[in-house]
Amino acid sequence: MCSVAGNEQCYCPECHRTTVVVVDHATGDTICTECALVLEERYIDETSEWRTFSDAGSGEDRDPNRVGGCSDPFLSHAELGTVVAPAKRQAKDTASPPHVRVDSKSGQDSSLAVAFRAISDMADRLQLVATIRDRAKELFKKMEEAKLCARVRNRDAAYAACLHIACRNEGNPRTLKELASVMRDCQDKKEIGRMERIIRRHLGEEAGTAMEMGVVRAADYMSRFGSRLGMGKPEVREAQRAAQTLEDKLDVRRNPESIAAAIIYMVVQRAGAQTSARDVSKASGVAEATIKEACKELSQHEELLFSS
Amino acid sequence: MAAEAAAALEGSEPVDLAKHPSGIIPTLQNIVSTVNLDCKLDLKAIALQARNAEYNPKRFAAVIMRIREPKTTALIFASGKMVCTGAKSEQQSKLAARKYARIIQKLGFPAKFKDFKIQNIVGSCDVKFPIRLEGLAYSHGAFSSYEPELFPGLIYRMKQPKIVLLIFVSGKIVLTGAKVRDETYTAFENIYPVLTEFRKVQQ
Repeated sequence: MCSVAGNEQCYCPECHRTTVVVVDHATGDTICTECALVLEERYIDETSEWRTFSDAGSGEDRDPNRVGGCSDPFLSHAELGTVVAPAKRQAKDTASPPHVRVDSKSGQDSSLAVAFRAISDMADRLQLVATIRDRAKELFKKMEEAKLCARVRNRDAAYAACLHIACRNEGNPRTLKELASVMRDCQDKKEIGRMERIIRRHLGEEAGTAMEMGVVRAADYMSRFGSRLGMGKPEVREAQRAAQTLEDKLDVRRNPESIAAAIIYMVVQRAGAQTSARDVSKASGVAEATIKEACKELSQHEELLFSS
Repeated sequence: MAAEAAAALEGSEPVDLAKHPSGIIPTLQNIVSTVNLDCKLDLKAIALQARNAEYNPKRFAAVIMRIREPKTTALIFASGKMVCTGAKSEQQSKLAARKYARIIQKLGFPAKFKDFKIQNIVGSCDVKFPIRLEGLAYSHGAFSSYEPELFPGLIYRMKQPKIVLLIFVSGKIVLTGAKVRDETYTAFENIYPVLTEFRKVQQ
């Protein structure tokens, strides 16, 4: 693996004249091209450590940068520093151990790193895409900068609230029950709602469009609940249309998750499939009795809901 | 529309359409008032002597006293402050507060009746048509908070007058936070055109 570093010439003592030399990047040797004598060792390679494909090609435009970007764009002090742990005391009369000095900035970054790891864990368990996870991290960093976390009693609820807002920003809302299920203590969903209210009140003005997350609709859950049941696209579309009709015309006083589950169950029944209420309950997280009660209520309007 | 509203209220006095253009008058459901009796009270003595009083200092640091007419509940604190809840009109709230003060006087305390003030008025009414809460929350996003997974009603924080409304899909409305009756009426007249705009039409 040799490359010509320009047409360099050097005096070769073996050939007794100036000859063309090449540099072996693997070993760092400078070698005469005529007699293969190693003229110089441990040549320091100053070129890029990886190939660059700039439009201008090689030459003056080459960027001699030897390092990449920071590993995490959210952390402002992503240094590769280490902290020496305090040594254990040998005896009572020895001098005190050397004090570990950590500045406040890296303290904030370590708190952010813990939060980001927790948010990533939650996102993975809910199978969320990277866009939603990154938006949640961004939101949490804004909270940290606004000193909102000082009043947070439940850190898990704060992470879940950031994820919920991020999901709704991307148009893929998850139910609060699902988010509560990935929290460590399986907390009440009211706690997430309380955190969201705090976030919206304090970050709503400066965050701009980040807070425009609309209202959760039953139609938003159709594709996800339907895919868990193996429903085809025409059935999902029919269910979404029924949910829209219900929202526009009917006075139904139910949770959007319950409405979504009931409509899916009705669509599946109309298609003649053998899916039971228990299967729909498993796919949607809504209780079986609730699905049946909601179906009983909606069956009075079946003609209106499913007329094409 | 006005004729229908007037017909719907047969037996009662006709609606003053100049003041209530919607034809609907919110019904007052609860009045919270405060008064200062202006003397220190021995809550244990009150609880022992009065039949209609309960006092559990471990749970709450006030005597809870009830009277039947007007049907109200009072919280009586050792500092002499009293909170009166449950009345259906301002006059009844004041009458009830006076009755509680009289009871305290009969128990031997030199109670006065100072600084009576209505603190909160809760009203409710029914517009009798279903409402599209999603559309209302979307177009009035600055004032609305609608989380159907947490609470089935839309919470509308009106700025002028400063009233909080709970709007349900059934068409029932709750108005709270008023200190004067007219604030409740004004808030309802403000929201009524919005409700008709987001009416659900069931064909």
